[in-house]
Amino acid sequence: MELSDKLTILGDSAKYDVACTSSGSSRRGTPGGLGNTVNAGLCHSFGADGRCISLLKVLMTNVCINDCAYCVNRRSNDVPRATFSPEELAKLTIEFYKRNYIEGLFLSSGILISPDYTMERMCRCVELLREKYHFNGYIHAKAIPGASQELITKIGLLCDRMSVNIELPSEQSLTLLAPEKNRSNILKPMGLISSSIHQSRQEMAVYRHAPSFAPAGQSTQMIVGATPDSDFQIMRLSQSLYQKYRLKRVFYSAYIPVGTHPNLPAATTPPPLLREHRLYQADWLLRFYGFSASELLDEQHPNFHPMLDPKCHWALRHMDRFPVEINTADYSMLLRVPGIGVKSAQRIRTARRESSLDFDHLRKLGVVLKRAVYFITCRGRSYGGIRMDPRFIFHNLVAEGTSHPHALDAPEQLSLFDGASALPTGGDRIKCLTGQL
Amino acid sequence: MSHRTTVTYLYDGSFEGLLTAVFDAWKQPSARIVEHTGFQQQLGEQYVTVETQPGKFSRVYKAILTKLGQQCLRIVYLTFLSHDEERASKILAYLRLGFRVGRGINRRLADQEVLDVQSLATFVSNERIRMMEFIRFSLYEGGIYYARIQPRNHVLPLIMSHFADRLSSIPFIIHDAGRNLAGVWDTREWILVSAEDMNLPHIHEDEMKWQRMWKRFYDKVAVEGRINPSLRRQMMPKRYWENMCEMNVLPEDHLAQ
Repeated sequence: MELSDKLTILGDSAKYDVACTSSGSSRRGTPGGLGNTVNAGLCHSFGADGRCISLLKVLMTNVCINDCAYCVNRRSNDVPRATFSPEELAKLTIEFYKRNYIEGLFLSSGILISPDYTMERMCRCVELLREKYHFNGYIHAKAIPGASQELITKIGLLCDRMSVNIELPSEQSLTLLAPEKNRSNILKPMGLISSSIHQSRQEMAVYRHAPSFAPAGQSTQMIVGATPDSDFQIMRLSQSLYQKYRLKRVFYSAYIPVGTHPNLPAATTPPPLLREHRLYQADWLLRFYGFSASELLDEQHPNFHPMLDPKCHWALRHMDRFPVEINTADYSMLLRVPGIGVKSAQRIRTARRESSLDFDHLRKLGVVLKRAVYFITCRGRSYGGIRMDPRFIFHNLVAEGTSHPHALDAPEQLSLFDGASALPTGGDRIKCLTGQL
Repeated sequence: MSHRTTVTYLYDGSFEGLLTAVFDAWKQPSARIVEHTGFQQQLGEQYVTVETQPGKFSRVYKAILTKLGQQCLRIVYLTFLSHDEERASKILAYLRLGFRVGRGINRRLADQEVLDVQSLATFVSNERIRMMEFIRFSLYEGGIYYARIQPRNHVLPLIMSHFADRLSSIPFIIHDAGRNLAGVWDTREWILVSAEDMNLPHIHEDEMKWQRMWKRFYDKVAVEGRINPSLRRQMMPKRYWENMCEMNVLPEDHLAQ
């Protein structure tokens, strides 16, 4: 088989993996070597779906001994199969990298023969890149659940980032759709990677030349919408992954039907893109805004509101915390104002040291007031015509098109205020926040 | 108030020239600074042609550095590289305010003088990143990698060291076709030269093979259920597509024999 045919098959079968970031590593070039890494990561292209293409994201092979119902590469699926040799893939990576198509390699794989056999081939490819080609760019490798500790440690020392897919939000869901996998099988390598990263950081603090293990950290991803797990379950899981395993990122992937199975949604179900979007928004709130999962959702409200972003939703249920005075509020409270992001909050904090701010100033600072006006005062005054009434605010927020066209997919969730008759009309397209960072 | 006529200072387009012009225009309350090349003088207006002087340049340069700080100097330099026609006058206004208020200048985010230069500087530094991302090199005979770019701002000097570090043992040329300038890396140092009479060797016989492979990969990775052209345009504006092989129809096998 021609190399370009292999690339087509193995790129196609890797595309449902969401993570494509090249961030978290900062390394200068080496004399005689090829490549460096940039801390913020670089996106070299954007596909027709608007997703960033940063790394050459391929599978070592799409042959697989498992039969997970949600996966396009499952054993029982009739698709063309291909396998890269380690040398072929290393060479391909180098040629693409030199032309500035990619930031490096994202290497995952189906399971060929056994987890160890597969992991060894992946290791070999990464080794060739680092040692034969002196490649100094970004490498992200997947750990295959069930592979030996030695192999995971070996590849971790050659990579920038490692990940293990948690696949589905709960053990029950795994049993339903991926009978060969179980939670502990997935958490074991995750724990090993997490402790190796931690140990390597400590050693590097002491010895400058201590070997670095996955300096860009660990990430994972899960599929949403294939199983009945609630947003609350998902957010709690993410939160514990961030805390327990110190993950850099959790990625969410809206389930796209790739087959029929009695335990799966019908093949005609559209991918729950709005839900995925809400999960990413909430994920940001966990990581950068000081929110916890139990503030955003609870047993009574286990799912995000289709027409309101998670922060607005939270704010409307906590009107006693508002309005917030822009000139005096704590930075942490500024971050909780709907419509004010990290950048705006920082700019406000800087600018208010020079002079007290009014609404006009905020506009000049680039703060988007569309949502924020309902929740703030400047020099003690509210924006003209604003009432501090959650019902009034809700209707305005929805009418202003902060909502989403796909909200129609989930009418049963329109329960925040029973009078919510205004259906979303906004034309916003989904911005999946899966790019940089 | 007597009506003041605006005096326009014309500088040679270099950073040294710009700061010399700032020096010369300082005492003139209604001064404008404009790049000399391509500027149409008009009858009845008052013009001064600035003669670039290293002494004046370094006085202004050092004053910015010591009185206003590194961050300010960076903003001035990035603004200088922007495509905005009024960039030099905006720098002058920013520096006037800066020397009046001192180091706190960059906290005055609501002042027009500060906003003007900061937004230009941000545009330049964003386009710098985009060029680091969207440049496409092609291999030419003799082992030289060549990339053609057409950025709005003059970001070429800002990206050379990134690629020199990344591709350290590979000679390459980045050609800004709009400004007709070439950044050349010979594996030891990089320089900017005019691309007026640049002669490229033939494209390498393997080159199209890799371009086609990349395009096939690119076309394949989009997930059908989530096609979203407007998001793609937002993340990767169309004006960059011309120089990106995956966004164009590639000549099939025109080098096959």
